[in-house]
This record gives sequence, C-alpha cells and structure tokens, in this order.
Amino acid sequence: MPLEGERIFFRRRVPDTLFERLCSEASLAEKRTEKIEADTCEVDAAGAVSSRGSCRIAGPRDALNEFHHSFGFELAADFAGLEQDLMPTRASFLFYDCDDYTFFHHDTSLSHITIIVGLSDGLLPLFAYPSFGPISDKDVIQLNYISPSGPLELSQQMQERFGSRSKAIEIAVDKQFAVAIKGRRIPHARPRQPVAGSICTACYAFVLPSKDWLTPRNDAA
Amino acid sequence: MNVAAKRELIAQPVDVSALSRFRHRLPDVHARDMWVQETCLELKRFDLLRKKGVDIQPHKNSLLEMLLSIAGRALDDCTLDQGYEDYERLFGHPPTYCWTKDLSVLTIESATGSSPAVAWMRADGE
Repeated sequence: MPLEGERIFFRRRVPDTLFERLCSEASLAEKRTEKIEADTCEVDAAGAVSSRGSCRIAGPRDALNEFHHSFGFELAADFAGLEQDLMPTRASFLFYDCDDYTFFHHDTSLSHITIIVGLSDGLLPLFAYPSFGPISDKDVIQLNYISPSGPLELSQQMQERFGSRSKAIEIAVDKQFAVAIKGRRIPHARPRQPVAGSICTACYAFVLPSKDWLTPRNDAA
Repeated sequence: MNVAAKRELIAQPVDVSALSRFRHRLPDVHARDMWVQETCLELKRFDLLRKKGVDIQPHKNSLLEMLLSIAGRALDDCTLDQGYEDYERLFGHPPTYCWTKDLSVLTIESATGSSPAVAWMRADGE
C-alpha cells in the first residue's frame, strides 16, 4: 500500500530549449536503436523482474546526459525529498512502434526514481499500481500471465485476479512534460501503443535506501 | 555509524580524475554512461560497508574492481561472498553487476543496457 500522504508522481514542464535539444538528440538516436523484446517474465539474481514487452532503445548523448544531471536530477530530488544521497544512474531513449508495450514491472534496483519525458504526441498514459508497492516477485510473475491486448482489458483482467490492489492510476506522459515516478517501489506498465511514440527516461538511486524502498523478494511460488 | 557520519561519507566527492580514466577505459557502447554512474554509486556503497567493518570485495575484472584499481585503492584479502548478506540487508538487493560481472561479458550484453526495466538484458545479475 502507498504510505499515507505519499505522492505517486510529480510532473514538470521541460524548458523549451532543453526539450528541443532532447528531441534533436532523439532523432539522431533513433538511427542507432536496438530492439528489446521479451515474451516471458523472469526474475533475475538481483530481484528485478523483467516483464514482457517490446520497444527500441538507444543510449544517451550530450542533451540527455545534461538533462539527467540537471533538470531531471532536481525534479527527482524534489520528488524524493532526500536530495543528499540520490545519484543519477541510467538514462535512455525509448521508441515505441505501433503495438509496442511494456507490461507490468518494477524498475531495476538502481532505479528508485525514474523520470519519463514525453517526446511525442499520442503516448498513452502510464499505468501505475500504488496498491501493489512494494511488490513481491510472485505478484509480478502472476500479473505477467495476463494477456495485454489493450489498456481497458489490462485493467479488467487485473481486477478479476487481484481485486482492489489492481486499481491503476493513469499518469499522462504528455509531450514536453517530465514525470517522476517511484519506479522501483510502485509497479507500472505501458499499454500497447496505438501509434508510434517516443520517450526518454532518466533514473536515480539512493546510495542508502530507507526501509520503505526495500522490495520484498524471493517469495515467488 | 550514525546518520551524520553516513551523510558525510555519501556526500564526499568521487575522485574525478580516476573516474575520467575509468570512463576512457570502457568501450563506447550504449551503456557506458550507465556503467560509470552506477559504478560510482557502488563505490560509495563499498566505502559505507568498509566503514561499518564489513569485509567485502568486488569480483576480479568487474567494473568496481577496475575503478578501485584505477583510483589506487588497495584491495584486501577478502571476497564478495563474505559481505554479500550485509550488502543485501543494507541495500535491499544483492550486489549488482558492477560487483559481479566481468567487463567482457557486460560488453556483449550492453546493447539494451540503459532502460529502467532492464532486467530484459539482466544488467543486475547473472
């Protein structure tokens, strides 16, 4: 369950100049993407759960690195409220073609806070599931057996199996807006895109996470 | 170690020169910036553990071992296994790829390496 008064997300508009640079860099990055695709769910040795999904990815260059260490860092620190021990970890451009998606997952152990920036129009909202967080591996694996065929069905099927815990909050990721989420603590999913769209992500980790951030694990059936 | 001491340790800047040399030793792949930043974080965790008296050391040829070596830090005669449980208890997960994976293996797997949902390529584990 979310903590009392816990903010689920935080949104801030990216300044024009920085946003234009991110978009230019994304255009170049799209020429050197790698496809990532998985149709099974796995738990790795660090307790990170890989969900099903497909999209194309490219690493950062100057503009995204600058965002990661400046605007994104400030947003993450404001959101986390614990600036001192938060550090930038990873950043990337993600390109979703029509029908691409990222199913139910929580982010890796070094992505406590994840910032997502909408780089294009037409992105469906992110679905966040605060009542699951912090989630166990068992729950994520069960959820990954559900067939995702659209945003509405995703919610309905999850509700049948998990009741009120499956209540999703839709978080709009609009063009030129940066959204901060607790990527490690609160599981989330991106439904199948009806049209192509792109985002960039910037992640941050606590050097020494508080107990609230420690994730249940190793209880998969 | 009290909270203030931990804060002070975490806030200490990393050796910029060593970090720069470390970066230049890495191949120019998608995940290079991630490797540098996450190894930097793990260096702080390494220092925290050592301050607490935990005997722990990254695997040979791992990113963290490489950075420690470039920074001229002496490595003791201990293993990752010795401090494994302390690491997991303190940080909520087992030591990451920065402690465990050989750079040559990481390079092969690096293509998709900077997504937050990266377990697809198992940046965190085996």
